[in-house]
Amino acid sequence: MKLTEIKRKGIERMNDTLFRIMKAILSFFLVLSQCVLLTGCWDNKELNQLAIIVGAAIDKDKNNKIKLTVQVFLPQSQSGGQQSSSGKAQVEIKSAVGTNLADAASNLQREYSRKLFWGHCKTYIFGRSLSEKGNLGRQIDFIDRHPEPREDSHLYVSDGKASDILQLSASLEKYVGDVLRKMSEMHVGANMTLKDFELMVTSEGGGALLPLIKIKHPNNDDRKMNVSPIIGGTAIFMRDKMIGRINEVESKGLLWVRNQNELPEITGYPKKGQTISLYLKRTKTNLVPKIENGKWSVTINISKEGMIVQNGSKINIMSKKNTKRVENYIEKDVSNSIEKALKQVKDGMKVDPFGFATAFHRKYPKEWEKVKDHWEVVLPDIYVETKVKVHVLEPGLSTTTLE
Amino acid sequence: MFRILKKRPQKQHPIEEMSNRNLPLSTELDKNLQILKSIYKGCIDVIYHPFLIAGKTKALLVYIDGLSDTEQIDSSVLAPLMSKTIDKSINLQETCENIQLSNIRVVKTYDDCIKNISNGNPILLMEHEEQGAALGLAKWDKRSIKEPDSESVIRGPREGFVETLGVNISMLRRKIRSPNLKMIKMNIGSYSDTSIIIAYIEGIANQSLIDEVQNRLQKVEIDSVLESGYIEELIEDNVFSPFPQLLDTERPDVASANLLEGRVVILVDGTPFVLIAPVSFFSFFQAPDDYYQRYLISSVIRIMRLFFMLISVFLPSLYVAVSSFHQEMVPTTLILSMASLRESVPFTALIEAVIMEIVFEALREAGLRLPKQVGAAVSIVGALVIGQAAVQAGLVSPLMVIVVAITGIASFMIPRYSEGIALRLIRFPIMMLAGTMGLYGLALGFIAIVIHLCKLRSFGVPYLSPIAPTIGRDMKDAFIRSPWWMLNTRQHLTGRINKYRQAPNQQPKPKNR
Repeated sequence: MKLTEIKRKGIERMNDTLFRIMKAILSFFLVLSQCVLLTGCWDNKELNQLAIIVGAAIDKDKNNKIKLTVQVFLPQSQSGGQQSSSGKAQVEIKSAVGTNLADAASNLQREYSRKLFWGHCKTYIFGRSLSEKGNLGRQIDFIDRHPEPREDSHLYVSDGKASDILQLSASLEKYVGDVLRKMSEMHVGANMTLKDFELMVTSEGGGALLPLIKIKHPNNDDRKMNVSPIIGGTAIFMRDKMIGRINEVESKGLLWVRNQNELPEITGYPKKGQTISLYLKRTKTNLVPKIENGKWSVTINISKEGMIVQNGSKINIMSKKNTKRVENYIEKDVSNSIEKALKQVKDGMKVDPFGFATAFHRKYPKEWEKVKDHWEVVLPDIYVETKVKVHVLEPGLSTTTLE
Repeated sequence: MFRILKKRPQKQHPIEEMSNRNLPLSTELDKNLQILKSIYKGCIDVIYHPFLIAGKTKALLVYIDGLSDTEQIDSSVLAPLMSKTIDKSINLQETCENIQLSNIRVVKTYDDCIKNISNGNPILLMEHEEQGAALGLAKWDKRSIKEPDSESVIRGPREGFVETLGVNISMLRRKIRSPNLKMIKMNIGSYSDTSIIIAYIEGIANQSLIDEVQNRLQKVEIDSVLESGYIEELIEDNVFSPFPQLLDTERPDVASANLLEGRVVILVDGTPFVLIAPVSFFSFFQAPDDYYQRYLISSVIRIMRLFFMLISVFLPSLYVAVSSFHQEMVPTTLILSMASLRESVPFTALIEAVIMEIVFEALREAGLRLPKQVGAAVSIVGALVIGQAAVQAGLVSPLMVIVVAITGIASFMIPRYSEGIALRLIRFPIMMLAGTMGLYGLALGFIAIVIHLCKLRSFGVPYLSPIAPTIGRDMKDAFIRSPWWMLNTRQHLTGRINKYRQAPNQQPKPKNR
């Protein structure tokens, strides 16, 4: 009894501070060493184990298959202090075929020593034939569901094959995807991200749009110019099926109705051979739906404000009275492109990417429920009134035009 | 694990055995001399000077060479006592009256004698007297007052504490002239017998705080106290935390300002560094300049310091986490150039970061210890090694060099070295976490640090105050430095006894309004 107590006390004395500190330090390093062993974590992916995709094109292939073409960034080693003076990033284009997008992507992975990384792919171009086939949503689902692609990536439809667009050389930017994305963000044509497109497709009416990319070939006159992609018009969708295209002028009208900006210059034509251009600073659109005696109509109120940047006419724009005239000419131009867009899309294609359906749904939910299922029949009969109000804020920095 | 660590160690036995020291002085001068000589055996610097007072009474002067003012001994003690004007044999009291000195104390035991001799006060012993006199003639070479190198300021007093305790006390007294500035003297160290002063302001400082400081100091039994760091580790609250829980400063103005906040200053003889307790995390981000410059500038700089504190702890980890787990988080252009720059680097981002940070710490430490002439060479080599050469050799990416450089600069923005180095060391475990678990690990590390800081106390005061616990009134001097006309109240946790520092509504306004 006594002996054990002495022994216990002895052990207690051994368990002195030093012993405890040693124990603490030891256990700390043990924990730390575990951390080092863990570095092969399942989701660890070093930057130089990745093949960063910066652009993707999706086309229809034979036998109902999908052809995926990607632009992969090739990092140039910067060792030895030699900076590459070209400044252009090296991109490589490869493609693979699969039954769907994921399958094509996994087939593509077979060609790469590094893991394909979608996190920085912000441009997806769909081929026209694929889009017109319908069921585009089934392919977009990959971009939506896979954790890496972004919801804010931009979608496009190419006029021809989508993979051709990726082959083009990019001017100013490092790769074509970036060129297209920056153009969209600058409001050349429609600016549609994946999220916007999905919102439109799932909205009432189901009319949607995506910017349409064309390839601009140089004329005989300017051969030095590069072949470059341009946003030339808009692809019109009914749900996830592309059903038609419209040109740049009609796109402008369509986008104005949707309260989106296009390029800010508008030109009016007072007389033949005379022009006058306005640089828009503010623009606003308001859709007012109306049902009277069972007759459906929409009033489009558009107001635009801007300054005159070129006066190629004989009008003296310094006087108040003439300003009104200038405004009238410009208003005529604006309503012209809106009329054209309406005629093409609403009457021709019987699709509603303008947002009329949403406007009716909001104001007349009960009436909307009745026509919901045959909207494409009702749509062409809707009377649309366009009220454009243009206001010239300032005549620009000069007073007179040289004669 | 940590609960085991918390138990305090058992008290150790006193180190030295005292034999005849507590004995009273003998009436026989020869015996006194003998005993003193036996105590100071082998101490060649002790001088025994026998002489006759007025040619009649035998007397002995004992002092240590170099600690006492020999000129004064000659002119004020020996000259009057040995003059022939004294015609009768006199006792000790009469002798003292003849000495032209203001500071004379009576000593009764050998212990007293030793203490006084060691402090530089010569001892005067006389035949047939069982008492001696300690003459206040201590004088030794001391450093002149200079601006402290570790805490230089742009605007502010350019004086710093020195190694001599008396001078340091006088500096405090010159700043705070009120008799309410009180001091408690203690001696710690069985061999060094170091004087330690606890200074506080009566009526501002909390009595329980003073008692606690005194209590903790009384528990210290150590052979010597050569620097205040000895004391600091023996009285702090959490010994296993990397964070300093006492503030050390070389500046009398900082010490005085803290006294006026109700804090306690511990001065240790032999070092210019005094300790201030209790302190909070934010005390370490308050430079003396903050209170002397205009408040707007001070506030911006203080916010910047806190921001760069975060950078110094988390930037390398963020780089590691982003480049090996979360590539999608960076702007595309940046990730593409990062990929290019990292292409030839053979290591993972974690290894790369750890190597570079360790090299940087090594360079900093090497530069610190080297003589100034060599230090410049080291920094040149270091800059080349860290910068150009490592990148050219393909060991690290240029981006990592930038990260290390920014981290280094950021950590030096913290005005207190002790806090800066603690935060610098913390970033290594966080780097490990970021390298193994990505941003999730980084967040875990951050949470762990915050929990630890929340638990930490400095003499009972929460380390994260005034954030946790939130004391709204004290925020005026945490993230920003409010103008002086708004700093009406002292810090709540230390100065609540005497709440108001100044009269309210002192914001200057135009006269005729």
